[in-house]
Amino acid sequence: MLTLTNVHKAFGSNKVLKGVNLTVEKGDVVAILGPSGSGKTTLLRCINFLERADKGRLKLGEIDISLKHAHSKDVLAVRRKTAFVFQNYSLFRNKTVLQNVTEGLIIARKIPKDEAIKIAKEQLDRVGLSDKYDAYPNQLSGGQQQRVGIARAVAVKPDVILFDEPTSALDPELVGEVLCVIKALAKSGITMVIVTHEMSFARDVASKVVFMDEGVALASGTPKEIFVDCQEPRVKQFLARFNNEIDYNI
Amino acid sequence: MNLDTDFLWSVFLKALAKLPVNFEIAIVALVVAIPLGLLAAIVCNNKVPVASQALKVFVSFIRSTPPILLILIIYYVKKSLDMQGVIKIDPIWYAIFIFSLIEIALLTEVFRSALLSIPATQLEAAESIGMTKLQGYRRIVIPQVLGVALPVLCSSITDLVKMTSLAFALTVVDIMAIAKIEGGFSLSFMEAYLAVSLIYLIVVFVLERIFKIFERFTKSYADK
Amino acid sequence: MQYKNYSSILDNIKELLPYLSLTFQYVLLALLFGFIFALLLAVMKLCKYKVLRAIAQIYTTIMRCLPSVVLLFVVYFFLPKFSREVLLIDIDDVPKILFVVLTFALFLGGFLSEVMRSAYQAVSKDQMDAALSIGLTPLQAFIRIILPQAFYYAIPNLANTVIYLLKEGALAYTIGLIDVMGRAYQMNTLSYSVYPIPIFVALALIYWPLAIVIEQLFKILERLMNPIKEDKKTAGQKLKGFKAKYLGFLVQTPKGGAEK
Repeated sequence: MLTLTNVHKAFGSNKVLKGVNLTVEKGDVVAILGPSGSGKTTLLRCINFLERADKGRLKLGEIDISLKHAHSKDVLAVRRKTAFVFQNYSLFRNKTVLQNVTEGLIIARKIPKDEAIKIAKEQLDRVGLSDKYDAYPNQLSGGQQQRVGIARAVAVKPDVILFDEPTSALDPELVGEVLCVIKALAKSGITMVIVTHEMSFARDVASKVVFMDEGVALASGTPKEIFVDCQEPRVKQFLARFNNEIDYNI
Repeated sequence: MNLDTDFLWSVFLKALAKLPVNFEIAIVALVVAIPLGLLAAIVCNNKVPVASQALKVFVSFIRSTPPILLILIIYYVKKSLDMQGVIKIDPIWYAIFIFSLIEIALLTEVFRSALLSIPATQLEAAESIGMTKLQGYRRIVIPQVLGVALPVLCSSITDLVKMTSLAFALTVVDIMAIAKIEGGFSLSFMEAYLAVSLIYLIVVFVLERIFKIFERFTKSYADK
Repeated sequence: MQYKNYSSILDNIKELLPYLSLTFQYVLLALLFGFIFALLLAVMKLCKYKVLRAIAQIYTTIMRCLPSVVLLFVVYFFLPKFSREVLLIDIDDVPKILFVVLTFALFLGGFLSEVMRSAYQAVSKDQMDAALSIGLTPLQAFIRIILPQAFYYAIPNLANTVIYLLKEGALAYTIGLIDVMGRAYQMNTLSYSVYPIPIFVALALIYWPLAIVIEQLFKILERLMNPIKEDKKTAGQKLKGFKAKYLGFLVQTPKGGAEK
């Protein structure tokens, strides 16, 4: 359903992406792993055109466009079929929780206001924030803000939701509540691409894992193929510490 | 449309010769206003009874009133003093007086907010090692206040230099007065004021650059 | 000429007050035109063309360096000459308020463009990203998300701008405009400078409360407009920070916004 081919992106002389390919099928939960600076976040931002890639193609449903030369109309079309959950939540600071969710429905998708509010309330209830409709973002904890961020993304019924390290800005004790919400979403069959450092989460929830390093997708496969069977030395080295931790835990 | 560049140039030179007058006013006013402004800020922030209230009224009045109006008031005070023959001094002293007053009011506000940004524990720490309050202010708090206030202080100095363009209203013969006199002679006011614009443009621009370098220098010094 | 008695401050205030309307007129008009001009300059400063950015920047620097009385005179003597000799239109009869409005619109263009730019840059970049990601067009994102936040950041500077205009506008008497200041000057002349102190003190007693009222009005506006609903403490600190930053401007001339 979502296919990226040969994506390149450089910031000045720093080549962040060097020909990444990625395929996501409907219902997939794809976890992208890899060390910091491997280009995971940049790849995600390129899909949503928050960054313009230097090269590459994007296929999403019947849309098939160049990542570099896409017309603004196509960009908008892609954005309206996808949604993004940000590392630092990025809620609209001038809108209430409810307005944060309805904004994309009313303005971008032209859904009547009453209906938009109904949808928004449903989604907020789903992430456990039914008592916070009229709060402003800075009155919420990080975990609550991120749950609003997720509700905002889900509400627009996107074909695919892109998560950019959704828990890495959170205090450790707040990570659980957000992961819980994402897990529930995964079970409901929404297609998702998640950049994350939460290994056990990736292992348990993802249907497919992609390992990125130095701007390329080094390995991809089912969680078992990556976590257990993968022979790629860089992947093994990266996972070694994590696997050790699991051993210790056991 | 023709521009009499020869005349413009001659006014430029004549006015430039009067630049020291404007500088004198600005510098003396600053030398007076910086310590007094600091003192007033400390008095206000420590809520010294009567004095702090009086200072607040003074600051509010000066900041709300057009400088030219204050200058005109002083001008008529000067005139009546001159007529009564009480004292007869160069008008530049009146200019220095009023610009000092204005600058004190402005700097009081600048230093007040700078003082608020210095944690109270700084003074307490100074006292805890046996300094007197005065020593604590002089050696610990005030140097930090000056550091914090530096950027605003610099911009307030360039503003003061620009404000000296109003000194002509006190019959001080400065840059502006030259333009008025020369322009009046030849009826080429436009060229005369263009010449003055040019002078201010250069002076203020150079001042800003100097302050910027100075700020960078003190900042890198503070970081070391 | 009729000799007039202006010894009563109270009577002088009553006499002067009606002339405030002209003062308000040039303040509002200069704000209006200055705002439009500033918008253009701010767009130039944020655009991708180096030449346009440079032009806007140089213009702002020039305006920052000139005392307003000097620019007022240049405009006052330049404009009639220019229109007579180049446009071949005689504008000797145009109302003097035009020169005042033009002068301060020129100043405000530079100053407000800096205010707009720094307010725009004060809104964090992720707000734009988030708006685009849910499918808003860049224009919708700007109007609905960025602008309200930027406006809030700009309010303290707008208050300063209005007070600046009020104070510097007093210089309009030097080209013979009969606003509240001009009327005071005229009254002084009519009475052969016998009562300068009661006249000018009366005028000061008009400006003083006026400036205080304007300041308070903007403070209320800021509280009402606060879209971010920060708790009062942080909002207060932010206000203080802005005040400290732009305080110098209250004296005399528009200042540049936050340095990059």
